[in-house]
Amino acid sequence: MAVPIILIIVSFLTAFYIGRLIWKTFFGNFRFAEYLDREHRLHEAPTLMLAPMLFLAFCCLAPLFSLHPLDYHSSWLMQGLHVQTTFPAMPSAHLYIPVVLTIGAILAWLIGWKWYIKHQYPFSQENKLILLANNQFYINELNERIFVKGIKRLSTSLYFIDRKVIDGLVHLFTNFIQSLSRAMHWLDKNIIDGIVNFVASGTYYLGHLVRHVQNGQLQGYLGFALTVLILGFLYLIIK
Amino acid sequence: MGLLSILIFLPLIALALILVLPSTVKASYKYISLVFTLLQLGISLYIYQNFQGAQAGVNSLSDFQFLEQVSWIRLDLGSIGKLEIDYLIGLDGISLPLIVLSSLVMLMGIGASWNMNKSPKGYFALLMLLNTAVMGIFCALDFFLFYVFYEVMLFPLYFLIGIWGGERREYAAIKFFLYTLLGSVLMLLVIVGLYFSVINPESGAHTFNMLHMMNPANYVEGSFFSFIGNYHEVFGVPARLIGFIILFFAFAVKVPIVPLHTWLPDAHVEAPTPVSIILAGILLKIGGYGIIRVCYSIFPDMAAETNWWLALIGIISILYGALNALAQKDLKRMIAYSSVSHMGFVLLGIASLTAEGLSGAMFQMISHGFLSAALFFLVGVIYDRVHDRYIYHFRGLASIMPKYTACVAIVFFASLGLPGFSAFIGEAFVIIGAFNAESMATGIPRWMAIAGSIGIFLSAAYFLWTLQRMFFGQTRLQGGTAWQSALTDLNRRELLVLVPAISLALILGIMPSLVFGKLNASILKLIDIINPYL
Repeated sequence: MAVPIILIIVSFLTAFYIGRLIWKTFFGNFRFAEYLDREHRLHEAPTLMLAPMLFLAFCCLAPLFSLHPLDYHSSWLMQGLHVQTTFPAMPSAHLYIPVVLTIGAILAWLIGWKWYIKHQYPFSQENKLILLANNQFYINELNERIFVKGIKRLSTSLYFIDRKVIDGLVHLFTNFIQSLSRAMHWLDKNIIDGIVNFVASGTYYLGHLVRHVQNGQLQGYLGFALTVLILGFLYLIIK
Repeated sequence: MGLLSILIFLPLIALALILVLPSTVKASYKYISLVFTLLQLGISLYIYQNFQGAQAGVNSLSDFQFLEQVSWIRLDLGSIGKLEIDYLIGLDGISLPLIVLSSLVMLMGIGASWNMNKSPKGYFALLMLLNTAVMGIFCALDFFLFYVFYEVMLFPLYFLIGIWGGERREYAAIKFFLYTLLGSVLMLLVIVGLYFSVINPESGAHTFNMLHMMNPANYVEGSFFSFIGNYHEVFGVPARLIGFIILFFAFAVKVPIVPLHTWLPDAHVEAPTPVSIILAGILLKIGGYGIIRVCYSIFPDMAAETNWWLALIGIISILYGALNALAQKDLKRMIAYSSVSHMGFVLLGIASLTAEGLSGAMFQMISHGFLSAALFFLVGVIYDRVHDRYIYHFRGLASIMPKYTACVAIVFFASLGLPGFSAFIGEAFVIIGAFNAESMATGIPRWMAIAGSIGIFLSAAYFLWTLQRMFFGQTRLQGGTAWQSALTDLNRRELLVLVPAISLALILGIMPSLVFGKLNASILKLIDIINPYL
């Protein structure tokens, strides 16, 4: 039930805004005389535009659709669109709904005449509803703020994540491997090579010490020989 | 010598010629490369014409076409047995479209390298080596051979990015190389594991033959990767699952999927234009191809088990790549992130395990191949002229470069999936497949398809926003009059490279049967292999 009522109200509104357009554009006082000069003149439309419009206007007339104003079935359009329904049709609806719509349209035009020709406009210019209507109920701003800005912000933050987090993990892995390799290099140079160098320098140092044995003093050589002999006797005695 | 071997090794003749000829004739290197690449295109188109679409050939060797099998390494290892490695190459419905794509994109790459003056000998030689490797990967059916070509592919790319690249080329080159190598050395472990688990039914020896690995009957009982009654575990994870995950990881780095994608923006941005074209056009598809050929065919039971996770990774890649692309100020980096997003569709399609999804994934790979090649080529056009790619430095290019604007507009619209172009077919089929997956009970919920569609919406956002920023409005350039005179419209060579790519996008968008006809049987066979495990 709500849908037909809403449609009827919309039909009234349609009649109202068309009426407003017609009243404001074609009736009342002509306010733009100062804009007219030799270059800007108002004149009738050329025949090339008038003829099609006359034709279209003629085709809007009701008798073109049906010669019986109170019998919707006799219209060729309705006969073509007729659909057999299971529920019974309400023939009276085809009488009172058009009557309601016609009366409503006439009322809407009368209101329009009162507001725009007799300038008895009841609302102030700062009316909130007028502001909303002039800005298409701010749907564009909603769209822009929520969807457009939202997606743009989402994409910039995802690009940030791509560079810093995902690529960051790759770089973290890279840095880890590089640190590992630097640690290995330190190990190699200082510990492993260190042992090799230690052996080498140790051998050199020992040689440096042992060198002093050969000092050309015979008593030293005889002393070594005596020591070995005594050690040999001790070994033979203890064994 | 078989036609496929000629296709693969033809660039090596070009390589030898280029290396042998002295630097006094260095103007001829590009012509040599062009001639050999054109020959390759001719051969691949001939192969395409003579390919029987009805033969499926996913896991049965005799069904593969242009098959060549030569015993390569036969080493007697004494008590362990015999080492059996074959030179085994062949084509089926999954590799054929990728072969044609590779030859086409290589041609576009050569066309883009026409004005390369820095060490042309090394550059074109490396390009030819890359050509061979890429063709070999798509044809190889022996795992060892596959791995050889896979590694050979990395080597020229490291130098191509590292020497001929942009500002941070050394960083990008080593990042790309090490990232991909990490994946492939782990893959080597699984290759060896599979080798020891599989017996060649004819010779009784262990084998690297991929087709034998796809047959559960060939597995040694109790081996590490055996199909039936496998109780092996690594840290509590079943052995076959670990094998699948490691293999998936290797190819996932190449696709690339989102946590493992950070090499791509750097590599694509720092690489020179032709190398970016080849990277985006061919190399990313090797990841997708690897998942289908290796992961799905050899481990179908694991494919059925893990497809929910793969689809989730695909969705994350789609949305994350698209949102990142929206935040970019460098045109080339934006296109690089859009590649991440579009390859997410491929993974989603593969994971859906439906015929539409897999076909859509394959088609998306083909379509994205030349569309992203065209995109990078278009960026290269601007960069060649003014050495700047920053989106905010250009405004109103349409008035000074109308032909370029037309090409950019068409390619952008094609890339975002406008119906009538190939990307629409790919993405639509992937989403259909993902949507149908719930009714086919493959384990993918409906919301994943919806998330994929949001990815398409985001790609429209960043492409059209860039188009508007850079091309429409009043002409205002950062470099002022110097740039205004440098920014000439597309010349004949550039048009010659772009028009075929755009027309192919249009033709495939209107007649997708050109690709679908060849791969349908293989896709259906693949699903038949996986279905018992769902």
